[in-house]
Amino acid sequence: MQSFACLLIVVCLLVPVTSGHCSAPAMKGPPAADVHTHPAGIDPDPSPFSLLTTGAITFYRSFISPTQGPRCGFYPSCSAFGLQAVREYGPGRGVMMTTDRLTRCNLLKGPGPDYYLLPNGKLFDPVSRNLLTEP
Amino acid sequence: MNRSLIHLLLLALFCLAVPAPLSAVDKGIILTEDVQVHLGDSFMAEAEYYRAITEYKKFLILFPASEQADSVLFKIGMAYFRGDEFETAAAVFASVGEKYRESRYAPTAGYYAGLCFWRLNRLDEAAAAFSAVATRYPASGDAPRALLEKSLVEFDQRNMAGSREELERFLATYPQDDRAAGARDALALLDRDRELPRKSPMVAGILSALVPGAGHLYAGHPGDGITSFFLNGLFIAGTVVAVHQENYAVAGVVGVIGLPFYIGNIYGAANAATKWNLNVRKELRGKIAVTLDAPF
Repeated sequence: MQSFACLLIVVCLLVPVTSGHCSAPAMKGPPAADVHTHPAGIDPDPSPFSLLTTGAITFYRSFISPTQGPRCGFYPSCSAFGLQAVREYGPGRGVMMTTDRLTRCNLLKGPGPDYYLLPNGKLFDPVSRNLLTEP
Repeated sequence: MNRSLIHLLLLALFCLAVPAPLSAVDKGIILTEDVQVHLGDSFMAEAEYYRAITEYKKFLILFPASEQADSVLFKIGMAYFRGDEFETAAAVFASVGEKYRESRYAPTAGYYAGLCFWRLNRLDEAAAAFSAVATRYPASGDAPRALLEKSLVEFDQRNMAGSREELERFLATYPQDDRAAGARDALALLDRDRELPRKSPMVAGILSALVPGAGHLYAGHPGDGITSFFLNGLFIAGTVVAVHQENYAVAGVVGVIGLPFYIGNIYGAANAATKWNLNVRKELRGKIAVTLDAPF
C-alpha cells in the first residue's frame, strides 16, 4: 500500500514534466530549417530487390568502406548516392544511376560545369542532377 | 538639540531626494510613430529581421491609422524577403497591394512579390505578379524592370516566344529607358538560342548501347566514355571467355555483375547529353541575366 502511494506520487510528479515536452513553443521564432523530402517519399518500393540492393549498399558502407576510409571524390559518396537513388527512385532506376555514378567516379573527373568543387575538395554531384530531366 | 537638528537635516535631505526619480519621467522617451519606425529600421539595418518585424508589427498595432502604415507593411515584407522567407514575404507584399492600392509602395510590393515567387520557383505566379505591375502601374519605375524580369521568367519556363515578346514590349513601351540597350542585346542572345549546339539523349543512349562509352564521347564527356568502354569491355570479354571455356557459373556471375554497368552506361550517356543541354542553356541564361541586370 505504501509503495503504491509512492508510485502514485512519482507518476503525479512526472506527468507535468513529460507533458511539458509535448507542448507547443510559447515563443515564436524563426521557422525550423526545411527537411529534404522527396515527392516520391522515401523507399517507395519495399520489394525484395529493393531490400537486397539497399542491404548490399548498407553492408558495404558498414563493413567494407571503413577499412580504407573515405576515398570517393564525389559528394555525396557513391554508396550514399546509390542508397538515396534506390530509396527514392526504386531499385531498377536506382541501380542504373549507381552504376553510371561508379563509372563516372574515375581518375579523369574534375570540376567544371557538371560538378562544383566543394570546400572539402569533393565534387558535388547530387542525385537530383542525374535524373535525365531538364528542370 | 543636536539630535533634533540631525533629524531635521535628514528630513530635508529626504524631501530633496524624493522628487529626483519623478523628474526622470520627464526625460523618458515618448513613443511616437517615428520612434517606433526608427526601432524597426535599426534592427533591419543590423540584419535582425525578426526583431525588425516585431517592431514594425508593434507600429501597426499602436498606430493602425497612420499614414506610414503602408510603408511599414512594405518594410515587413522586405524583412521577410531579406530573411529568405519568400512565402511569407509574398503574402505580405500582396497585402500591401490589396490594402493600399494607391500607395506609392504598391508597385514595388508587386515587383517584390514576383521576385518571391521566382525564388520559390513558382514561375506562373511570378509571371502573373510582374505582369500585374506592368499593367496596373505603367508609369512607375517598377514597371520596366517587371517586364524585364518577366522576360527571364518566360525563359525559365522555356517559353522563348514569350520571353522575346516581353522584351519587345519593354522596348516599345520604354524606348528611352537606361536598360533598353541591354534588352536589345538580350534579344540578340535569344536569337542565338536556336543555333546553340544541342545533344540528343536518345542518340547518346543508342551510341552507348552499340559501343559502350561512345555516347559519352558524343555528349562531350570523353573521360567517362573511356572508362565506360574499358569497364564494359572487361565484363563482356570476361563473360565471353568464360562461355568459351564452358565455365558457365563464372560467365553467369560476371554477366550478372556486368549487365547493370552496361545499362548504366546507356543511362549515363543519355544523362551526359541532358547535362550538356542544361549547361548550354544555363550559360545562355547567365549571359541574358547579366545583360538585363537581373537579380538572379
